[in-house]
Amino acid sequence: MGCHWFRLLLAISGLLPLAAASEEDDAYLQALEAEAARIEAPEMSETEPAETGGERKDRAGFEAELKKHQGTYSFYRALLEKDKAEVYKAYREGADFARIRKMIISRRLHR
Amino acid sequence: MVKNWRTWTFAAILLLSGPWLAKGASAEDRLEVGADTDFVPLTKDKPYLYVIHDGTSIKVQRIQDPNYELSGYFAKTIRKCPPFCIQPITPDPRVGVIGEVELFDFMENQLRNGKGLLIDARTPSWYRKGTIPGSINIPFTELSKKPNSPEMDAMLKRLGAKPRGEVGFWDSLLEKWGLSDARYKTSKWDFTEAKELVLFCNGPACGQSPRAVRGLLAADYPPDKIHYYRGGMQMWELWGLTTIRPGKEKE
Repeated sequence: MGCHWFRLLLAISGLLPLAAASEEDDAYLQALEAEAARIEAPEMSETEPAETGGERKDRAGFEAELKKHQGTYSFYRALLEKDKAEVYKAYREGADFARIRKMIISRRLHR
Repeated sequence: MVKNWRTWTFAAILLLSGPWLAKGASAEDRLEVGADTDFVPLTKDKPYLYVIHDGTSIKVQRIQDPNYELSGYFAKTIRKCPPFCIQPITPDPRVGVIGEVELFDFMENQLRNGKGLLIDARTPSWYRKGTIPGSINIPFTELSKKPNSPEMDAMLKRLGAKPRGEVGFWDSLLEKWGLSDARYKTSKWDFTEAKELVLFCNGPACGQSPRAVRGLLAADYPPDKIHYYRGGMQMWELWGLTTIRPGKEKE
């Protein structure tokens, strides 16, 4: 009987470090996922400027908005008309600013 | 007489312009990618490169906008530690650390000829936000499974390792004596054809790829076939290098 308890104790003590490691892994994964979820927030907030309230402007309004971001606008200005139209179409369809910026850079670099 | 004069003039012109011609064709001059333009190349002799990502050829180069500044997550200088602590230069002294230039070479050689894999070792939620072109996503959780577990064995096979099966007495003896090449062989695996790996994650404060590296080493993956790109996404983005959002158009 005593031997049985001793074995059980031994097994439990052997599993303890494993359980601790697994707990640590779980905590790390949770922190990672929380951080990953958090970084979506600023990108989303950048997408729809407060003054538009989510409404999409006409082409001129969109370009005026874009001028506030000098770097991106300098790329946009150099695009071919068809690319500009594509970017504007994406904007009208609700693309966020991060996506608009990447589209512009992509079209500028890969044309 | 006239013919002779012409010959001598031609010879003199050749003689005088010789050094200039030689200089004009020198390798150094040809390598000055940005000499006459504002174009900023990847390296002095490499303006850009192409990699295949998910079946599409992607041009990797630096963002040329002189006003471009890093923003968003990778512009942050501080994160909670633990868990997002600054990592040592290498997760294991046996594993080599590489920077961007070595990664460019890897992309143009091992990756292109199918002998290497560029592994984004982050969880899928990170990978989906953007990655380095040419990479595949194998999260660290899958690369750090228990050695000899069915999952880890399947992973090693995916990376090109071959199970050895029963190793005969004489083979074993020859390998032990160094008479047969056993450099990439363990009792269970033959890593001779296993891919050369480059692993990365979010950057110097990211523990995901270091965990993956340790997982692979625990499963006996040869350390000299593993490279750690410590700069990760943070340094890649800091240099304004092309990133791609998996499953979407190239960006």
